[in-house]
Amino acid sequence: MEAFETKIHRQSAWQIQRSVVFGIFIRELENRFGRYALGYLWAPLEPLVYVIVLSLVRGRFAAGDIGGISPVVFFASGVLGYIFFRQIPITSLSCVESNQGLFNYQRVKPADIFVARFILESLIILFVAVLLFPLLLGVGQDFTINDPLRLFAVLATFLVFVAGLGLTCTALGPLWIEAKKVLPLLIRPMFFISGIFFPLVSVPVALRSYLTWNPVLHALELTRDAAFVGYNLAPEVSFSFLFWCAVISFAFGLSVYRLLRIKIVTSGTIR
Amino acid sequence: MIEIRNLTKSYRVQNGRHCVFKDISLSLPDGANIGIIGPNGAGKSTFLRLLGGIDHPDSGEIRSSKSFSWPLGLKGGFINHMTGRQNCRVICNLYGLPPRAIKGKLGEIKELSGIGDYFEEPVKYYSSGMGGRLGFALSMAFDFDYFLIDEITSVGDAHFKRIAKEALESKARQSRVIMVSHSVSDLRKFCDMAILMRDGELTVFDSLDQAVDEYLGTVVSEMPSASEVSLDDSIQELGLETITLPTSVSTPLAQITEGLETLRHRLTDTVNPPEIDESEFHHALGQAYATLGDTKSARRHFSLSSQVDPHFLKPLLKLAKIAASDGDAKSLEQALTAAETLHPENADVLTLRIERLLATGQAADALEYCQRGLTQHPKRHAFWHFRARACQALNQPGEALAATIEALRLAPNNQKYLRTLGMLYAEAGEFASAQMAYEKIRLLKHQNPPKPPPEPSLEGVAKTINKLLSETSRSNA
Repeated sequence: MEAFETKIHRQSAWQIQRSVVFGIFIRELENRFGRYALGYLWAPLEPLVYVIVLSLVRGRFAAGDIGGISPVVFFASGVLGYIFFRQIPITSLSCVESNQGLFNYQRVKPADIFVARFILESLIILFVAVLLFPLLLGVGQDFTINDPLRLFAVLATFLVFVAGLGLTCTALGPLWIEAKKVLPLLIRPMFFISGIFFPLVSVPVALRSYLTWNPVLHALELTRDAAFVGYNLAPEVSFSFLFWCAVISFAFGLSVYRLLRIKIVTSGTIR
Repeated sequence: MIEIRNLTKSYRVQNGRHCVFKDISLSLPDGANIGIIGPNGAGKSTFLRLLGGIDHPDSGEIRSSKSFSWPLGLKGGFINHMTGRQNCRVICNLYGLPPRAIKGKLGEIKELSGIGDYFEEPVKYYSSGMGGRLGFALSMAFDFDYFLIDEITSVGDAHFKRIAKEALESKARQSRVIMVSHSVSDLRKFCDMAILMRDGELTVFDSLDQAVDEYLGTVVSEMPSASEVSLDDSIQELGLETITLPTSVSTPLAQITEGLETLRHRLTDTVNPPEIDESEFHHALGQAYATLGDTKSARRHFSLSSQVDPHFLKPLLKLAKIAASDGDAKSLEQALTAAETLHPENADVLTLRIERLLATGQAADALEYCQRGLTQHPKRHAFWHFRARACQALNQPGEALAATIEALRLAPNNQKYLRTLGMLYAEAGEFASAQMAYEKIRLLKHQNPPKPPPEPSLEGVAKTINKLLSETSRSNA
């Protein structure tokens, strides 16, 4: 391990960035789980409950696969994607507010807190996925990985898309208090229109154009297609649409943050 | 080298913007410890925040290749629900201390801060001094080129001050301080040069003393120049002051007493109880008795008033005041505690508490309360004067002087403050300044000769009684 540079002004920008994100990551980790009795076990609980409820409901009405893959695997992938999409913007809103004391330290900027939270939330989802899918294999819900490289590309694009939303929320959260009320109202309906419990192929062709404006739907469909052999991908689903949504969302997030970066820290400060 | 170019900084206030600095340019040489002095609200803390990079100028820039600590102030810059230890670990991480080194450092920080087991408690339970001390101890874990110190030395006790000074001296080879303090003696301990900040102007002085002279000069220059009157004469003149007691009871007073008796009878009339706001009524009655000098009855009515309405602050304050002048410590403590539960930050409540602490010799606690009083009521000069008295009791003449001067800035013609100023100067051996202070008192006395001690304002009491009489009779009829 390299020696710690005690001379603060000799630390490089990269060293500073890394220490700050690491420091906040550890704090966020403690903040998120440290206070609860079962700690980290809470993370997989929510997706598990969703998947079980959806599977039970589905089991009562129909049998067989959904879109060419096992229903439980289908729900699990959808639910994890949705939870990630929901968590990032909502947790980003309070980045500044819940770390107010830390802006007393010059090197801490709201973006660092966003990055740390983003990494934490991503790792939680990854951790749950790594736990959940082998478990499904174990209980006889079969699936085969289709195209790991393409899966990686789709997930990376989705991550960038969500990161753009998160950055926007980081910047708007402290300036627009009502966002905390409004955002959940905007996100909740996404559960029903993003293909979490139905594949696009099961939607009548005439109705599909109403759903395909939603980038989350594209992301989930593309993920399933890349992840599982035998998935029936609707022809309307397009990677380039998701890609451009990601570019626009990220560029928008960066610009909003850049414009407001000073205001969000100094707002509400007197003297 | 710290280069400041065309710096402008303003804050949004309720009506428009308040401009703190306008187009300031200056440069500060390397290797100097810099003290910043100036009146409250001159922008000293803002200046430190700008240097520390946690606040941003509207325009202009601050250039330096040096590293600055965060401003070490009373508020520690911690996350409230986390313990001192957790906070310190997070911040060590932020500054890139490797995890294996952190454990040892945390021990050192705990030791240096001197907050003991509070280190393991959430920061929200800390007093303002403790947060500041922990912040200071934490900052010592790093080698900043400049430590920005905002008044923390003013809250620490003598022991902490000594440790802080040692810690800073151990870093003197690579680090310098830029500090804001009301205490000239503290500044003198640490600083080589000074910035005087006043009315949006920043003036750099090569020595601290020059700046202090310039600053204090504005207070002293408002006093008349010393004449041929000797210091002893002035002091003797002041010593002759005595308090004359109110004059004897006169006829209107007897009438009032009679009126009060009537009132009492009507009140105890259970057949036709009067319809009145009992609490207000007893308060008014208590006040009447107090003016007449019948403290026993006054106390009874004030306590009745607060019994009827436990949320009524005024009678509690009156009770505490009477108890204080009677020397009844137990009742004073009772009334004061009750008042504090109602309005802990009320200026009168704080005043009574500080007076009590000073009377019982708990100067350090009194100082804490002064700090609270000043944060809540920055315009109350009495708190500055209390602070001066507390500092004097703690044997910190430099701070006492600075506080007295601050009190005089707010109330330039207050003779009590001037007397304290003169006494402090005289103790410090600066007889010329002391003389000026006494001279000004003499002049003030000359301009406004002391009024004869006030008679009990019988008219006021009579009015109160009449009002109460008419209220009760109306409801009886």
